[in-house]
Amino acid sequence: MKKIVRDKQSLILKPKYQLAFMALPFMILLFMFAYVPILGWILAFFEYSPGIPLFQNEFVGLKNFVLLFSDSVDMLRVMKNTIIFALLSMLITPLPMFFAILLNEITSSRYKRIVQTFSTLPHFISYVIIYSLAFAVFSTDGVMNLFLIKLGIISEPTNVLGNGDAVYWFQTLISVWKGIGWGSIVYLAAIVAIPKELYESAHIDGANKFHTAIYITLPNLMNTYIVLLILQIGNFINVGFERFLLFRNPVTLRNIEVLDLYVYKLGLINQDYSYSTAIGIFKSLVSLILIFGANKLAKKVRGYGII
Amino acid sequence: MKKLIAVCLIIAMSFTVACSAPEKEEVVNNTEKQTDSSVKEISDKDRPVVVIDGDFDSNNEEIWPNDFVKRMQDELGVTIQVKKLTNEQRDLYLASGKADVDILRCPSGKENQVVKSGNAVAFDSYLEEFGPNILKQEDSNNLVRELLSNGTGELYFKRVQIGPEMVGKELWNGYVVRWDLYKELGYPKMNNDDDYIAVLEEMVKMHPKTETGEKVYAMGIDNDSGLWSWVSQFEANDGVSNVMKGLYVDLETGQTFNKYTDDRAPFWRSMAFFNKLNQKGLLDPDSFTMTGETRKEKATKGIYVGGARTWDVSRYYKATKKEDPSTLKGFMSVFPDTGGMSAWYGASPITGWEYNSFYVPKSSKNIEAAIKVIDYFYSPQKLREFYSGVQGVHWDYVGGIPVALDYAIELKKENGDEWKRFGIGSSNRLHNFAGLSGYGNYEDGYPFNLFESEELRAAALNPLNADYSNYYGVSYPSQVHVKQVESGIAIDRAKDPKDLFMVLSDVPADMLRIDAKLKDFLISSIPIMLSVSEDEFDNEKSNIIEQLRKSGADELYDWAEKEYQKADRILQSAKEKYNIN
Repeated sequence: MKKIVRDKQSLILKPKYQLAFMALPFMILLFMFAYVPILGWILAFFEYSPGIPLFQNEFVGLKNFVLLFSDSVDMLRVMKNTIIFALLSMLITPLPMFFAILLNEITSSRYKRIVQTFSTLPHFISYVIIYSLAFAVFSTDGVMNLFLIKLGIISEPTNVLGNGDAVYWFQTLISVWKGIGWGSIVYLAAIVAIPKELYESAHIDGANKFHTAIYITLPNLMNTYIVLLILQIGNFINVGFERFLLFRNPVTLRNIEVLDLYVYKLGLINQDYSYSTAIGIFKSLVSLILIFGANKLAKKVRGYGII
Repeated sequence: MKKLIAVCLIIAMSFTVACSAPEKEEVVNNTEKQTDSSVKEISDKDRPVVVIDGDFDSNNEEIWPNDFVKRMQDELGVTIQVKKLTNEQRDLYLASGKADVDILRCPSGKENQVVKSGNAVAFDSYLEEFGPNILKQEDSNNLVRELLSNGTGELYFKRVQIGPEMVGKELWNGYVVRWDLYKELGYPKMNNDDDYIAVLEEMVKMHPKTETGEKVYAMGIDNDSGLWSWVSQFEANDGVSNVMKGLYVDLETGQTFNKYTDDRAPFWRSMAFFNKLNQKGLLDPDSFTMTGETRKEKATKGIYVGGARTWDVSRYYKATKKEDPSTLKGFMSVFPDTGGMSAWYGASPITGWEYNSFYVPKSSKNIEAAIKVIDYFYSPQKLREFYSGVQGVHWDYVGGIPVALDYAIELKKENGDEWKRFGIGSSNRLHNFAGLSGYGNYEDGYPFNLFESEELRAAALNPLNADYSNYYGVSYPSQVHVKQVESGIAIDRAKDPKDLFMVLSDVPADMLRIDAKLKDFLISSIPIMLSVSEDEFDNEKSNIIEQLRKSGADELYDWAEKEYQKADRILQSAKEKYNIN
């Protein structure tokens, strides 16, 4: 008895297991909130009505998946929107890195702190408030129109929030404004880790700030960038729904409806739980394929990935 | 070994502490019971709490419990709480079978699903003891037993506002105009939508800017309520019933028609109207992007001279009246002299309001108390109290006729906190929970609601109402339309087949999907329909109807039409079975 207890104690105390034990609560949380809900996928194979025991609902097999692929009009439109938003968000992924590099070059620490605070602040503003702000600025009697009309640049007010063609770039600009400061934090941390000697020797060799940024800072940030990019690719079609829901209106509806918003609409507004679960499964599978694909590509190009 | 003994001792001590805990609590309770105040505190605490699912009225939330609710709590020995729920929360309760609410509203059209789930308490075995007033509602109970019990014949739901629908002092639909400007224009005739647009245009020309310099528009629509914001006024004006997915019923002829593709559909009527308004630059260009709150703010500033519904723009009068109590700057509904326009009153559903079936979930810890609360709202005495207040305080018999007392009439007119504290009628947060309509008669032969008598309505007019009524020679504004109905040139909603909603509760998932898709398509078509010129309008309309047909509009209508006819037969045979007229 004594021997078993002692063996167990020594097992826990072994350094190689200590970290694993510390991670255990988080693993349990991850399991509970990320893996247990997968059981809910079973809804996709039934015509589920809340309250009726699952197996008393009509079993429909793959009907909801067939519907997904036969629903050419809506699914194509929604997928097109999702891919456009995802590509645009991929395009702007280097911006926080460039912003961090520029921020790093500011010599006045006070000014640097102010810029960092103001650029990080939008991350903490909810989209509900952002929509109100956007309406106050861009509506026909908003600040921007008043300003432009007073300056004589335009004679009639315009409303970018009610312009279906402007949806893609306008939403991208909002996500840049909201995310650039927050996204740059991880790069600023990576910049701190770059050995100072590299900069000193470069200065001795006559490099200016531009040269050190291009030839020292940027290459040293590339590993961080690649890791974040792979993670971003895994989230390629998870573009979120909150901001799209808030900025959705009859004019923008056709261009702003992305997959996440579509699932939200079907599941929670239309209460079509089975079909929305089927789309959710499809989305998860695509994400898995993308993350493994991106990892493989990274391995091929740079010799290593994250998995 | 010592360690093992220590562990055993600790466990044994824990048990001892755990077992002794209730005794300790009892001692404390016994001590507390020795003083009178603590006895009351405990008995209040011990009262069962009945939580009602109520998203009824957010205006009077802060006055809770009001006097009516306090009396009810004391008489029934319960504590009433109201919890606002969304349909998703109701579904979640339904799925889990566990609700922390004792009286739940059934998600729209899911009554049979609730019964099938086994989550609802069957009332029948409780009614003799706890629901004598519910038992008296034989017609309604019989129909609900027959049609909403999934064939079990038990009573699982109680519906609210059974009886005739009240016509308010004012009506919310019609041609809504700024009354002061309409008067200034010399009361021009508005016999159709074109006349209405012409009047609105004239008003904007007369007052192109607000006092603070903002551009004035005829009206604005918000983006909060989707399609409803654009069509509800046409549903009311044209006298159609939105009885089910994919189908409207013409209340005058009783004919059904396709909700999406028919020319008579309120959506197309709405598009024709708003297209003209937009082409003339009279529609607020923020109509696609603003929230309801923004629209109300704009209305308060006087940016609009018309409105889709009176309540859309009612804040303007409240604001102007503060500055000048006798002002006529407010909105009123005008109806064509020639008649032909319907208004939203006059239905008399045997089973009460559609989409308002309440049930007691089996998970409720206070089933009996919950049924007592529901029953309270069917008691004629309590309903008179609910709608008219306490006899001798708010109303009394004068020469054998029940009349509201001056003191209460004045307070009602002021509509301040003192009035709201009584919890009478619409000032009570639970006013939509009343089992019977206030227009129904109490045992003295007079309505439950004594504040809605013709004399009191006439006496309670504000200057705006009074000016309107003077012009039309009526005692109060809604009489203009009531008289048209009486003379046969207009209809109310007396023929609205509201009881049919019960029979139409189960809609197959395929049809729900088609309907959701069509609605989305219509919403995204609004900007297109409003931006095309008058010449292009018909062409664009045909294109969209073609798209709607491809998306299943005809399939949905065919299904709906069959279901409607079937439901009508089922309802009629149920009525015959129970001898209900």
